[in-house]
Amino acid sequence: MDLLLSDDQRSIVASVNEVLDDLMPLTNVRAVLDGDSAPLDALWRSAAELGWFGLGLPEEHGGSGFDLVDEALLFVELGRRVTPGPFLATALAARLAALGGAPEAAAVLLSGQARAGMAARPDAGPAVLYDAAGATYLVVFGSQGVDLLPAATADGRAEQGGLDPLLRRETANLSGEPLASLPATDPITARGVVLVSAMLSGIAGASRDMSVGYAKTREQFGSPIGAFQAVKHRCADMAVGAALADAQLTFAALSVSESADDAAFQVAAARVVAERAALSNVREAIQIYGGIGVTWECDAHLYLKRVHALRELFGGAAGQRPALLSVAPSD
Amino acid sequence: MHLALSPEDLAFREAARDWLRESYPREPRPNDGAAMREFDLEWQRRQWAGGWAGVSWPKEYDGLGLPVLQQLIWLEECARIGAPDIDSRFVAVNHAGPTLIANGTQEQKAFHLPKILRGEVLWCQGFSEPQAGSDLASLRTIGVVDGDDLVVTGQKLWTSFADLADYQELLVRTDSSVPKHKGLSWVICDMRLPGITIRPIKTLDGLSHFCEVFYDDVRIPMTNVVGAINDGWRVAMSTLSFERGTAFTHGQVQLASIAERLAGYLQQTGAAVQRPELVEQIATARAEVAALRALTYTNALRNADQAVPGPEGSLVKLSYTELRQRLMRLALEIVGPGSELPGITHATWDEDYLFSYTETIAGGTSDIQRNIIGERVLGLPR
Repeated sequence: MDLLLSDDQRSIVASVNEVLDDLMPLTNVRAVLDGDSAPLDALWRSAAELGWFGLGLPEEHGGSGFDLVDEALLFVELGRRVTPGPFLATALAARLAALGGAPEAAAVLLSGQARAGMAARPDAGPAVLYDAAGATYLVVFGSQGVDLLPAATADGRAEQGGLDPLLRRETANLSGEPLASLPATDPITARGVVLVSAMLSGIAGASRDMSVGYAKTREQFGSPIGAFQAVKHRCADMAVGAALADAQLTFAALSVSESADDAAFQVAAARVVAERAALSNVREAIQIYGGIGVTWECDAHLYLKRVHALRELFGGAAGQRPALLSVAPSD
Repeated sequence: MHLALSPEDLAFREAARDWLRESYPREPRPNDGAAMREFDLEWQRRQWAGGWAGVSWPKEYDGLGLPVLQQLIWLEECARIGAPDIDSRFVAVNHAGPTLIANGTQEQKAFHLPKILRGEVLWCQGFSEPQAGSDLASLRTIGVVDGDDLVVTGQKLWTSFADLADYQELLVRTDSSVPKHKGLSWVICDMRLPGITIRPIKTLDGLSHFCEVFYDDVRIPMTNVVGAINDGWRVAMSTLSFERGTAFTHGQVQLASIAERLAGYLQQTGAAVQRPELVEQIATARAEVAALRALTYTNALRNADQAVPGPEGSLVKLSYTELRQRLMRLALEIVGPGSELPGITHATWDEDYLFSYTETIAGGTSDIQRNIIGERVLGLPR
């Protein structure tokens, strides 16, 4: 067992941060929110050059051949910075295309020429599409398996409400012929849940960090508010939540890569603790910021809305319940 | 990064399992008094005889000097098979012993360490006092040097197993003229010395988990002072460098097992259908127990190559004790007071539930843990 970050992993995190600092600081997230697509287009080009869409895909399929735990590091950072754009759907679609027999689609997704949206297809009724506005493909998760569809085959698309304007929801009817498919038992779904957990974990960490930063500098009654136990203890609880989410994320990612017997349980646990930490930490962040916390100017609401958007994916927390109730964790 | 154990660690686990299967005590553990003392010491003696005593102790003191991962494996295997937790042996094996190893004289080490590892003695801890709880360094029990003796007068409180222990690690004030942390001394106190009065305290579960201890001109030989006189705070803190974050491993395995059985019980009895909110709570609890284990492993392996472990241990202590309290309450709600869960022996929920209220207080309250996390992990101002 080895749970310490390697030098290679540290450099992945550093390089991701460098790119995001440069191309998608929070000011640019807000520019995208206001309708300017240029920052996201620029980031997308760099991401493709750096191989972000195929980070966890084996090299023989055109990817970079890193482990899921390394890919999770990327998605923690994307979560930490409320990065807009369908990174998760595109990475999963590229994987599905590459492994499921659609190499042309894989090539355009990996090279950044095409994007994918995510869709959840229920057993009956219309599908829900996530962040699929500019997508060429849809990666569609359903109880029968995972399909790659051309986005153009989605009929009757209708905008749905949702809290996060950067992760828009639509309903649509999906009837097209899949370009590639993987069975419901394929680990691609578990990988998707791990990467959602990674983004939620990143939000939990970011919320902790912005709260602690503010509590160190904001003064009331003649001292930084972080000196008061009422505030300090909230921050401590945020640290606990984020630490649990981070640790379990690593266990979940490694258990999928190593095909551990209890992988489904570990993934479900990661998803549940990450959502709880993210939601609770964003809530505490807004509370610690006080009046500023509820303004549009404060970034906390971007995180709050992203948590609500992410927690819907892959059947939400309820979707993880069977694994948490029935699978005995092995050693 | 990888989760899988190396062939060497797998072989170690197999050896531990084999020995435990043959050797762990199957009879129920008495929960109080001399019978419990004898039971616990017998288990320690059996570990010594089998070559399994002192997993964290250095080899030069007859310990096994195991790497922290193998310590975790050993503790998990002990808990899984149902061997007793360290409990009454904790202070001797995991606290006093390591403190003597780091700070004791040759004579102190030669006399005490073998007795601890071989299961001949129990120790207790004389730190807390009525006026010195979270603010430990403000303690008032006085030690006055008189010839070759330190004469101790005062009172200690919350001393677990004082009535069963042979020796005590006793922290006393030997200089009142200096700032509070600087006038303390750490001494070995024989619990049978004249002038010591021990009164067990009955706790909310009807049992007695700890005592108050009174000292009335108790004469302790100066040769029992560990480290220098007035250097007791440093000596007490040095013990922390032995704590690699393995302390709650046994309890975590228990929690995982309880949560798993509760999940099964809900489904078998049909309670899952009638009370879906319990299903959600137990699913969440199982996720939290899993995450706590992941955090324990992560912290312990990070600490392994550091001289002094970081304050992150407080994250584990806080979340473990709080989660234990929540899970025990949930267990009581699901199974009902006075009932037992099939497959878990000698655990009545009423007692375990009530006892869980002590765990968020003992060893540094949850509130103190939050201060430590806030100040030392997050860098917030004091």
